Amino acid sequence: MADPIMSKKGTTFGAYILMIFLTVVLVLIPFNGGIQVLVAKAIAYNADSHNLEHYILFHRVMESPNSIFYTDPVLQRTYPSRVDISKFNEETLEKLMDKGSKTSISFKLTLKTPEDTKEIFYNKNLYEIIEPTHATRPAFLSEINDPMHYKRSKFQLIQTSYPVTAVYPSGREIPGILIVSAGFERTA
Amino acid sequence: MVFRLLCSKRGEGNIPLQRILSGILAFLLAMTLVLLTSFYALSDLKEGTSFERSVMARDIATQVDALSSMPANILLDTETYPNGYSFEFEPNSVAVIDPNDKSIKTQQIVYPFMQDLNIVYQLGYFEPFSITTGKESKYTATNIKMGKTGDYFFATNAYTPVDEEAFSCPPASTSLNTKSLLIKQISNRAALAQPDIKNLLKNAEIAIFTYPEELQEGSIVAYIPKTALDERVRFACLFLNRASANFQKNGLSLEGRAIVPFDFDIQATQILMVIAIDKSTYESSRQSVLDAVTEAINLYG
Repeated sequence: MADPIMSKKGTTFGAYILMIFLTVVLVLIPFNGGIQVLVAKAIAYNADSHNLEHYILFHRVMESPNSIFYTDPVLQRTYPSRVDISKFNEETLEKLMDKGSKTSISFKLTLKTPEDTKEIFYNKNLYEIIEPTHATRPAFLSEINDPMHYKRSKFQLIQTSYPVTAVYPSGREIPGILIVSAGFERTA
Repeated sequence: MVFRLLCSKRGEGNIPLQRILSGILAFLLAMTLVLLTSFYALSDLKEGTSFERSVMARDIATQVDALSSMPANILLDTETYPNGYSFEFEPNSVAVIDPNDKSIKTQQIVYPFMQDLNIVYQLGYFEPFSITTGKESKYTATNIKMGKTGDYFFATNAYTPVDEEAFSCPPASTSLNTKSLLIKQISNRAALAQPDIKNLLKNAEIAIFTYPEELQEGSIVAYIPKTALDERVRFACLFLNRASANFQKNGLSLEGRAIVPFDFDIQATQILMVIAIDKSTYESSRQSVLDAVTEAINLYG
């Protein structure tokens, strides 16, 4: 059988072609691909704004007039310390944050009163994936001491709890505790 | 000596050495290609705009998220982007496009935001004007202004109104079929001290009044002073258009609307608009009308 590399007189032209081909396949393409991946990673890493985005969405649930809180019908003022029981449902959360977005976010809201404990979820499947493996962040961006720690973890959770008044449609008011847990997945 | 290394005594090529040299040659060729590729990649990174546009897209998306979450009416300062990029807002995402970037992968950098479904979003596509001189094309800056009033979010540029129809006056589609009660109200000067909305419109004070009137069902009429400047008419048009959108959003029906220049017989130092609402729907639609006024004031700013 003819040797494709060596002729009787020594190295052939085919050998050079083979060497260049192997060099391109084994060195050039991986190197080029590696550089492009590194550049893409560097861009995504340096432009990373996930922390801020997550806090903004967390505070949407905590402060938006369209969230679960009581709004005075006359003054049109929303009170973040008064939970409107008629709005404390998953439908409210689904209207507050469009599920059509590619932002990966999930919520668990727990309202504890002496009479009852109510739990509602937004994107429950994601929340159940995040909860066992999360890194917990403080409830306010300003309290983060080591941002790099949170940059490394894929799943993160922001939690806060505070006393509220549960306002029923009948006007009855009961004191309670609201626990808000927001789970986030870092995407590209 | 070197000659002897390369050639055998018989003058034939030293085959092992030739192999080594071939290998070295191939390695040098490969290294040259690798270095050229690296320089090309780094040069592309240096001159490319992906990173810059990625930051812009994230910045804009974050602003949309923040505005959507705010329990307040907010108008952000106009942001100027001088780099010739186009901005395309889609529901839940924004794309920053560089027309000079020919790569399909990086021509548009897209970043998501999260809409609040309670809010009506007025989004759009904003592109710079191109000026071609010879073979070179230059682009003007793109301006984007964003804000939120009530449950209405808008992104616009400095050259066009929020939407093309926003300031256009619809033809009057209702008529006053009874003697206007307005005359009686205005004759009571004390009523002018208690407007429903008092605010500033381009540093001038504006006062808005509403009252029920015998109109066709589902109609509203905006009375403005006969001596009103064009700007006031423009504001009234904007209000009527916002009212139309608000009625629709709240499940109401705005059947008729009109702007009526009216002799108020007073020296109005402030911008004045009196809004007559159909008596039968006054209670249910008054809040939508007032919301529309607030939105119009914020948009007009």
